[in-house]
Parts: sequence; C-alpha cells; structure tokens
Amino acid sequence: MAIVVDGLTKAYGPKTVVDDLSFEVVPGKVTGFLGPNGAGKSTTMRLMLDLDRPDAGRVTVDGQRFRDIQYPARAVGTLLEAQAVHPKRTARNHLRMLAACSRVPDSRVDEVMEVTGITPAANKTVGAFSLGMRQRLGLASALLGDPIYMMLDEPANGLDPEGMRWIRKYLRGLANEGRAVFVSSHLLAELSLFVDYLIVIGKGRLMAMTSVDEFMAESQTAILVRTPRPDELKVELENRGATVLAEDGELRVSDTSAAAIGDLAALLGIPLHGLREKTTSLEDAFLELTADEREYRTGGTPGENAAPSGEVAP
Amino acid sequence: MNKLFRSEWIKFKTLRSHWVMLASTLILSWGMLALAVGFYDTEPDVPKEALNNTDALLGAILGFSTPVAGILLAVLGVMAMGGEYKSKTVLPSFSAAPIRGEVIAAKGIVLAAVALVTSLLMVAVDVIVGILWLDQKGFDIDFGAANLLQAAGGAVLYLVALALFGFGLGLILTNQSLAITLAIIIPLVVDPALAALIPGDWIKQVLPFAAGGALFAPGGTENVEVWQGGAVLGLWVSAVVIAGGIVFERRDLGNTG
Repeated sequence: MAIVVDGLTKAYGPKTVVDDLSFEVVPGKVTGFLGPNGAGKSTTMRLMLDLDRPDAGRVTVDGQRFRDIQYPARAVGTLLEAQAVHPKRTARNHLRMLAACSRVPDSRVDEVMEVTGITPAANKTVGAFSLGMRQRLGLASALLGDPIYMMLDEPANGLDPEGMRWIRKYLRGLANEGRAVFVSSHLLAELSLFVDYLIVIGKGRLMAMTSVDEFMAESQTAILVRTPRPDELKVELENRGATVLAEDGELRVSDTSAAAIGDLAALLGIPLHGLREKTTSLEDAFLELTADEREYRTGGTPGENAAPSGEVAP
Repeated sequence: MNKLFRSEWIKFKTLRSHWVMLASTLILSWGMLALAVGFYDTEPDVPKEALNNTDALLGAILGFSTPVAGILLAVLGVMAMGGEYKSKTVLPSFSAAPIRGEVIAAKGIVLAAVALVTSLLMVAVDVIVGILWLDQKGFDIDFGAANLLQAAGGAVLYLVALALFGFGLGLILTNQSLAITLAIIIPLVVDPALAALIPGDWIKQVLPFAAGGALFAPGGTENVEVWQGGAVLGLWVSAVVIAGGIVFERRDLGNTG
C-alpha cells in the first residue's frame, strides 16, 4: 500500500523541471514535500495525477496506474490549486460536479462542506470567496471520496493562523486514522509542526528523504576543523565515536565537543589551523541543502522573500 | 461513462452563462426570422407571383435565422471547453476523471444533446411561425413539399455541427478569447470571403460553411447537393474535433496559462 513514484522526469522545452524523482507516500503518515519556490513541487504533483504528461518514469497507487482507478476520488483526494474554480459556479455545484465522477452521493457533498466550515457559503458563487475560503473548498473537494491518499499543494496558503492550526490538526488526524497525507510547502517551519517524513527537492531533484527527527538530528551542532593532516585526525576521531565528514579541506565533526577535538589533536601532535562550532537550525539545514538548487535568489533584504505565512511571531 | 455524463451535465447546467447563450441564440434566431419574413414582400420591383413558391418562402424562414444561430452555438461550444481552461477547473476535473478521451467524449455528447434540443425548438418555432405569418400575408405554402422536412431537418443538423465545431476549437486553443473570435469569423467572414474571392464552383463545394449551407437550403444550393453539403461540413467538423482530441490528449494541463 503506497503511492510509488519511480524515476519521474519532465522537461518543458529545454528546461528540466522534474529530474528522475523517486519516492513513496505511505498510509498512516504525513509526508511533507518541501522545496523552495520553483523547485518543481506542483509539477511533480500534476505528473503524479497524469495532469501533465511525464517524459519518463512511472507512478502507481497501490500498484495501479492512476488512470486505471475506477473511482479516482475514492482513492486519491487532491487539492492542487485553490484558485482552480469557476468563479460563477456555487461551492456546492463545484463539489457536485466532481463528486459525480466517482459516484459520490450529494449527501457527502454536504458532509464535506460541514467539515471544512463552508456550509454557510454553499450557495454562493466561488468568485466572491477569499483565498482562505477557496482553500477550504479545495480541501472539501479532496475529502469527497473519503480517500486513503490525500495530495495537497500548499493547502495552508492564504489561511489565517487559526485556519492553519486547524488544517494541521485535521491532516494530522487523517494520518492517525491510517490515511496517507502528502502535503507540500516551501516553508520548513510550517511542515515541521506536523509531518512525519520529509521529501526535500531542489530544481526538480531529490535532495533528502528523511524522517523529521533525523532531519533535526542532522542539523544540530557540528564542529568544523581545519588541519594539514585531515586523514589522520579523521581516523582518530572516528575511533573515538565521532562522526566525521571531510569537505572542502575541512572536517565536519559531530557527536563530540570542540574541547575534546582540541585535546585529542594536542595529544597526537596534529596541528590545528582552525576549530569552530557551527550550529545549524532546521531552516539553515534546509537552505544549505538547497543552496545550489534554488532557482530564485534574493539579495537578502529583510522581508523581501517573506511568504504570506499568516503566522506572526509574538 | 454514465458518471461522466452526469458530471458534464452538472458542469453545463450550473453556469448561467451557458443558459444566457442558449437564450440569446433563440432570441437572435427568431429576431432574424421576424426581419426576413416581415420584409419578405417589401421589394417593390419583384412581382408577388415570383415570391409565392415554397422554396423561396422556406429560404426566407431558415436562410437567415439558421446561420446566425449557428455562430452563437459555436461560441457556446467553445465555452464548454474554454471555460475549463480559463478557470483552471481542468485540474480538479481531470484529477477526478483522469481518462481524458472519455471526459471530452461525454462533454461533446452533452453539448450536442443541448444543441439538438435547442435547435429543434428553434427550427420548429421558425417554421410554424414563419408559415402562419406568410400565410397571413397571402402566400401559399405547400405543407406537403418534401423540401420542408429536408430544410428544417438540415437546419437542425447544421446547428448541432456548429456547436461541435466550436467545441473542437475550444479543445485546440487554450486561449478562450481567441477560440471565440475564430468561431465567429471563420463561418461569418473567412468562409464567405474565400467563396467569393476564389473563382470557380469547386471552392463552394469544399468550404465547410458554404457547402454546409446546402443542408438547410430547400433542395440544396446552386452548386451543392444537400447530402454533399452535409458530408463536407461533417468532415470538416470531425477533423476539427479529432484534432482537438489529439492535441488535448497530449497536453500538459497545468501549463495552459
């Protein structure tokens, strides 16, 4: 039981947007799909649903191709773009037309509107909806078929803080019921609050696939050591249980302390040219991971790249 | 397939713009009938006897009302698909029903059925009102004339074909405004212009709307038999719809801007 993505690749003209991407989405877990804007998250989701045609690769839902599923909405609930609604159609009719494709009864339409809190606006045309209301409508449409898999592209976008908390709790609850929730965001902070797994992509390539705990562990304090005899020191440190990565003429050491490294080097007579601690936050780890892969860079002006997260620090 | 017909019917009936288009089509068609019949005998130089034959009278009844209504139905056909691109509802729609061929077949059939019912109503009113009105003006129409049924039935087929022509354009072009523009100017300007500018009768036999006009002309036109006109228009419309289906099957729906 899983959605299996295998070697998915897509180019628009000369530009490869999704590059040999493979991962799985499993029931009972919230899987976060993280990447900077332009990394190919939305494209990947469209490819998974056969909305865009992949150049290579394969996607299966419990072993079946998506297009071969008889009642797709009962297997995979989707919210790709909250704006993808006809402005002159009412919320209820929008849901009814989607429900009909999978023989979902109209009574279920009323249920999902109740769950997402849009019942009072059921007979209003969607053009008058705020982005937050459209997100709720989108979530309602994803829930129509009571599916095992949920695929949501930036569902918190446009919600107020209360709405964001609500949606996190709701999606968490769905996973706890044994459903698979696959949810994208460009904000690690938002995802880290409720996901189990993280799939990180940059420029369409898989950067990391890890549990949130591991991801956090990896991003804890590291000590950077500069020495003319790195190989020797690396062996000695590893013999004492430290984790050592050699990179750019530096050693990146974790699971030990700066003092212990300094003492060891003195004992062995290995000269040190540099020894400093570096603490990485989750956000730093993410940025570091995707540093070369980000498509758009800002000049670092505060607030310039601020996403409308809705959550304001006190 | 049943579930898709239901979905497509909900899509169609829940947008007021579709009903406004249908109402406009009827009103405009009947307005053209009123003009054509109302001014039928106002030409001072033409003797009444020349006007008093069933074919000429049918020509007045259907010859103007049908092509005008056809253009509006072509626009409706574009909207049936173009509205989905424009509003991006292609994304949720085709996530809910991923086999594209089936969905657009259901959409095309729902559209054709709507166009058929509308055209039957339109043409029935055209013919009945037209005949009674002309009768009152002192013209005698032979109800038994074989051409009456042919012209009326042909008009209905012509109208359904135009709705599907628009639908095909809507499938090919993601830009709804452009598709609507083409759905109007191809039958109204391009086709008649080519028929007029290119010398020879053959051109009138191969252009979709010049030839297709034979469907609702009593006994066909000067250059085109009724069946010929139906076949030529049918082939053109099929070509546009099939091309649309092929283009649509391959299209990246997220990339339609």
